[in-house]
Amino acid sequence: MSWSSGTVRRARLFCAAGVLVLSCSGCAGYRDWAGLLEQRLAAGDYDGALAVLERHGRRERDRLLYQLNRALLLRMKGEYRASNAAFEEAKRLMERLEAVSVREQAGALTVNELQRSYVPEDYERTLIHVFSALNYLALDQPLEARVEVLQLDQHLRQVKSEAEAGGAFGRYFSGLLFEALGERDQALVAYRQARLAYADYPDPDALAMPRQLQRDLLRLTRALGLIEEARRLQQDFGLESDDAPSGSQVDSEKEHASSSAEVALILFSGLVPPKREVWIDAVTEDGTLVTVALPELAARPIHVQGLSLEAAGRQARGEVVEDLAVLAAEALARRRPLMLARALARAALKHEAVARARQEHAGAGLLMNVVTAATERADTRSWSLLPGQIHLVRLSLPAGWQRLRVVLLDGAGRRVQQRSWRVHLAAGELRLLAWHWIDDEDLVWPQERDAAQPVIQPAAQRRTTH
Amino acid sequence: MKRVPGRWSAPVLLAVLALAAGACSTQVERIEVGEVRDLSGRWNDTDSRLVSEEMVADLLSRPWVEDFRRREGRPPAVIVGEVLNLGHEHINVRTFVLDIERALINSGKVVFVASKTEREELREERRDQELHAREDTRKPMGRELGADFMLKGTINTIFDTEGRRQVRYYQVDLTLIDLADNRKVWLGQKKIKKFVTKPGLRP
Repeated sequence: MSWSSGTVRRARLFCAAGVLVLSCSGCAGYRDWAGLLEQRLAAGDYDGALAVLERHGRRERDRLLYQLNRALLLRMKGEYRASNAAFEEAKRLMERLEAVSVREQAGALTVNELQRSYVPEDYERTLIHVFSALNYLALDQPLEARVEVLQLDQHLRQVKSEAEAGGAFGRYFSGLLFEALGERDQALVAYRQARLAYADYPDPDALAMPRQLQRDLLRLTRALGLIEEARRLQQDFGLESDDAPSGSQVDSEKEHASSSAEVALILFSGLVPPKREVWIDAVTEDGTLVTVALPELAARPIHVQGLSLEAAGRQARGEVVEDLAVLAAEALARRRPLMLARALARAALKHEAVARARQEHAGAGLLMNVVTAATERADTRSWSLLPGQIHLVRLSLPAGWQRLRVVLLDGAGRRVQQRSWRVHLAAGELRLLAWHWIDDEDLVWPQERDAAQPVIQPAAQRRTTH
Repeated sequence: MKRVPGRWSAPVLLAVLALAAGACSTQVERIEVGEVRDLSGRWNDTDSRLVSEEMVADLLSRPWVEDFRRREGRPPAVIVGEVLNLGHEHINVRTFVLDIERALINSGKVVFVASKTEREELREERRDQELHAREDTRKPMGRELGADFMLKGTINTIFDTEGRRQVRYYQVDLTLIDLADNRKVWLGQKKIKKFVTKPGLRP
C-alpha cells in the first residue's frame, strides 16, 4: 500500500497536534488543586492537606514545589525531622535545577511555561532556611539551625537585591538566632545587614524598619562597647532613653541579664497571594485565534494582622517584619518581561503551525488552532503555603517557669485567637518561638478572569499609578 | 511509500522498550570504602576519614605522649569531647568523632575511655548487676579509669561562590587539653579546599 505525500503531511500535522495535546496532558495548573490544599490547611487538617498534595502535587516538573509544600505542612504538623528531610531534598533538587534543560526550554517556547521545572523565587529560598532553622531549634539542635543561617547568608550573597529576596527578615532572623546562640558580634552584623535591607525595601509604604530591630541594634552596640555607633543610632531612630540605656547603664544591664531571659515569638500569618492566569486573545487577519496566557497575583486578605505577648505582668505588641505580598509582586514583575517575550515567541510559532496546517487542510488548520490555543497555560505555580505576613514580638522576662499568653488580633484590633505556652527560661536565654496561623478568612478563591478582583502590582507600578 | 513489514515491528519495539527500561532503572555498583568519589563537592566520608587519620597521626607524633608516659609510667587516657560544626553544611560530626576514636584506639599509644553518654549507660548496667548478677561476676562502682586528656574541636567553612563555580574551604581544628590543669598540650589543624564547578546543562 502506498500513501500520497499529501496524506503523509496531513498525518504529520495531526501527529504534531496530538503530540502537543499529549505534551500538555499534565497541563492542569497548580491553582486547579492548590485551593483544596489551602482549604484543608485552614481547617487545621494537615493529614488531609498532605493527602491532597500526594494526589495532585507529584508531577515530575513540580518535584521541588511538592517537597517545599510537604516540608511546610510537616512543620506545621510538628514533624520537624521529616520536614527538614523534605527541605534537604528540596535543596538538593534546587542545586540540580540550577543547570539549564534544553528540552524544558524548548517546551516552554513551543507549548507553555509549565514544561519547565518549578524553580523557587529568591524570597522562597530565603524562607526554606528560616523554616529549617526553626525546625532544628524545635528539635533542640541549635548548631544545625546555625548551619541554616550560614546557608541563608550564602544565598543572600548571590542575589541582586537582598530586600527583594526576603533578606530584611532573613537577616533579622539570623541576628536573633546568633543572639540566642550567644554570638553577639555575629548578631550585630546580621542586624546591621537587616537594617540596610529594610532601608532598601521594595515598597517602603508597606513596611518600615521594625522598631524592635532598632532597639536590638542599639542594645547590642552598647553591649559590645560601640558607644559612638550607639549614639548615632539613637539619633537616627529617635529612641527615648528608656529604649536606649546610657553608657553607665550597661553594667546594670549585664547584672540584669544574669537573672532575666527573653522570648521572641515569630507569627506566620495568612497565606501569600496566589497567582492566577490571565489570557490575552486576538484573532489575526487570516482568522487564527492567538492566545497568550500570563500569570498575575490575586490579592488575598490576611485575617490576623497583629499580636500581643503577655507574661509575668508584662506585655509587648508585635509588629510586621515581612510582607510577602510585596516580595511576590516584585519577583513576578522581575520575571514578567522574559515570560512575555517567551509568550510572544510561542504565539508566533503556534500561529505558523496553524497556517501550515491550514494550507494542507482546512480541518487540520482548525484542529491545530484549537490545540495551540488550548495548550497555552500560564505558570501559576508558587509556594503558596507560605505566610502572607510575618510578625515578631520580643519580651524580656524573669528567668524560670513562665506562662506566655499570645493573643492574635485582626485588622480592627479584635481578638481572633489566643494561646498559652508554658516555658522554662534559663537566665540570659533568648528563646525563639514560632506560630503559624491560617484560617478560613485567609482564603479567597482566585476567580479566573474576574476583573473585579483586585490584582497586586509591584511597588514601582503602584507608586506611579497613585 | 511502503509500510514497514510487520515482522520488524515487534523486535524494534522490544529493543526500544528495553533501552527505555535500562535508562530508567537504578544502577547499583559496589565500590571500595577507600575509593574517592566526589559527587557534590560537600564534606563526605573520604574527608572525614582523611582528616581524622592525618590529625591523629600528627597528635600521636608529638612529645606530649612520651612526656606523659615518662611521668606517669602508663599510656595517657583520652576522651573525645564535643566537636562543633560551625560551618555551612550539615555534617555528620558523629562519624568524624568515631573516625578519630578508631584511629586513636588502633594506634595503641593511648588508652581511650568511654564518652559521657556511654558512661551513663555503663553505670546503669553496673547498678543493675549489683541487684541481679552473681557476686563473683559483679563489676563494682567506683573503679572507672578517669581520662587524662580531652580532645575537643570545631569544623569551620568558608564558601566563595560565583555563578556555577564555588570554592569550598573546610578547616578542622582540634585541641587536646590536660584535664588536670586545663593546659592545651596539642593544637592540630587540617584544611581542605575544593573547587566545584556545577554543570550548565541537564537533561
